[in-house]
Amino acid sequence: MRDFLLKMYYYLKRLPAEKGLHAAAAVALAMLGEEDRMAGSDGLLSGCIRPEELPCSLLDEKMNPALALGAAMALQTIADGCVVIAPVDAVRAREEDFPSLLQLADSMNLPVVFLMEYDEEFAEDLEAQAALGDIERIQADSQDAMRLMPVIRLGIDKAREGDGPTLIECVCSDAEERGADTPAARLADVLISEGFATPEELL
Amino acid sequence: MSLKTYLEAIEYVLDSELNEQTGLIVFRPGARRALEESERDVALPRMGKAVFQIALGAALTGMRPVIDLRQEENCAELLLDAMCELPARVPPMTVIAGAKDAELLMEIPGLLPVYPKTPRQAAGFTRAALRQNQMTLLIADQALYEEEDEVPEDDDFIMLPLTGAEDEEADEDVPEEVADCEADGTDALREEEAAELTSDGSEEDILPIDGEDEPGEEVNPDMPPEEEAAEMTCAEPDDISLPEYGENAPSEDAAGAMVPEDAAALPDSDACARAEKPTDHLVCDVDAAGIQAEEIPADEQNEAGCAEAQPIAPVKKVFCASRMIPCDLTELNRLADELEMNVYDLAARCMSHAAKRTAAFTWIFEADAEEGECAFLPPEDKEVSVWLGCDRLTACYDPAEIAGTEAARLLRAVLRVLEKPALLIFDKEDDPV
Repeated sequence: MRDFLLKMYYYLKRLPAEKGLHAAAAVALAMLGEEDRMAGSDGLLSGCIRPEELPCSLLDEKMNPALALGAAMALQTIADGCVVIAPVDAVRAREEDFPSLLQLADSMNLPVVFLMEYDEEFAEDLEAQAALGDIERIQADSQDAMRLMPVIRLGIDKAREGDGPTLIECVCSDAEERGADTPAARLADVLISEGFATPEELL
Repeated sequence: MSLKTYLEAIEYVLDSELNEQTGLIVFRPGARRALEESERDVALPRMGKAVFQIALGAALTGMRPVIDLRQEENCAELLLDAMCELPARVPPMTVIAGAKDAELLMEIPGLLPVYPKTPRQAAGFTRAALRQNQMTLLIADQALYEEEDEVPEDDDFIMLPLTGAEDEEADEDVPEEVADCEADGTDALREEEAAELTSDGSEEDILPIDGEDEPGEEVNPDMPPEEEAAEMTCAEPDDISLPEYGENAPSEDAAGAMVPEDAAALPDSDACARAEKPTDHLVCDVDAAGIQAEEIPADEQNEAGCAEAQPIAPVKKVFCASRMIPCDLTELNRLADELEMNVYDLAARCMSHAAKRTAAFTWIFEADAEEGECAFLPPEDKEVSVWLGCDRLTACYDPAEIAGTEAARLLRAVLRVLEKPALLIFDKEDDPV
């Protein structure tokens, strides 16, 4: 548990805090195995990437859920129990082909976890909602790693068991409620207070 | 051997390769259902160029994807768009497209085109395409679907249409025109291009092709340039129109090397055989594979609206524009909207206009140009100019001075050197300006 939490912390620290999906991506990455993948802006990342190798520009450019779907289809034929993470920002979610990608993931029961930036426009888009089909949809606080953890774990486990995709909508919580701390700083507080790490280790 | 139609030959090979190669995965956008009951033969809804990203995702996970675009209506447009978004070095994958807009499909840089004309070739070429270690485009001509022929059922029956190499067993059965196509051009043209590229005085800017030696090293200093060029050049098949280049006197390039006339482009199969087999075949057989620049008269079209095999005419104009940086296209699109013009027409007009001011070719590489900067340096005495800013590569030539095939060949040489995806767009119309 300690190793997992520290790994998650280092991923979080590596990625710029201001991006809405970075915390969720860091949490998901920490949960991935060697065979699992995450679709970044530049291609597919392996689940065993070391924190220091993680590109800071992971989600800087256009996100590519189609890449994740392709990887999921391939992994589905190669081995059981693999999962692919597909981060999707609000801009990408509004593109017209996104509903068809959701539909495809649903119809093929692909082992994909969509980490989507919450977008009101998407929430009101009837076509997108219809495309969701049987995809389970869960909301989580995008700025709190500890709250994201169980939700993402649920999605990943579900995909591993062959129960299809999950859509996790990352909602940006109220700044007043969460304070000025970054997700990494808040996770560091938890790690120190719970005795998982010392302040020196987290420097 | 068994009697198979063209379509059956392709499907038979796909099926057999699916069984043979466990990493093969077939995506069929627009297909109602996959033909093979296999989880690796996937029917997809129509989703435009996203299917290429899906295929790329599969390829990056260790599979070898096949994208069957035969159900897509605007296959060429889709492919062109998709190629611009794929990374420069794409893992091996195969695209199957219909023959509509074949001439455009054949010119997409980064894609090795394969265009079978008989069921036997369909089987051999398809298997070759599925085993090539690069992105391959198989053009499946709907007009030929019902044609029947004896097709070997050997799982190793391969015809390699573009590398000059053939499967040993298939060797003696290869039709002559295919053999011409196979042995034709590529290697020697590459050599010739290398010689030309190095003789234009811009050696410092030119990288070795495919990691080979510096192009200039191929030039024999003891041999007159025209003889050497002739030795390194392959012929086109007899039934193919030669470029109009021979009408002009041999011209000198910037470094004073003679540019060969048509006569120099006569075949030398020994030279072809001697040439090292390349791994990249963008140049392949623009002359041999059926590219037509002219509009096809209605009476020469078959029921499917496709053209019957025709002798090749040289293209009249060509321009290429890199669309790697979206701002280029955005700007072009904005201007096209403003002028209420088709974006390709607008680009063609611009290029045509620029071509009028040039004569004799040269290569201008300005890789250090600022983003968005137009690095065009119109030479006063050149036939074709190519200029490259960090965000664009553009080329133009005067069709009155140089044959389209020749220009296309030279441009592809540049693209290969740059290793950068770009578009070659052929304008079939006369000068629109």
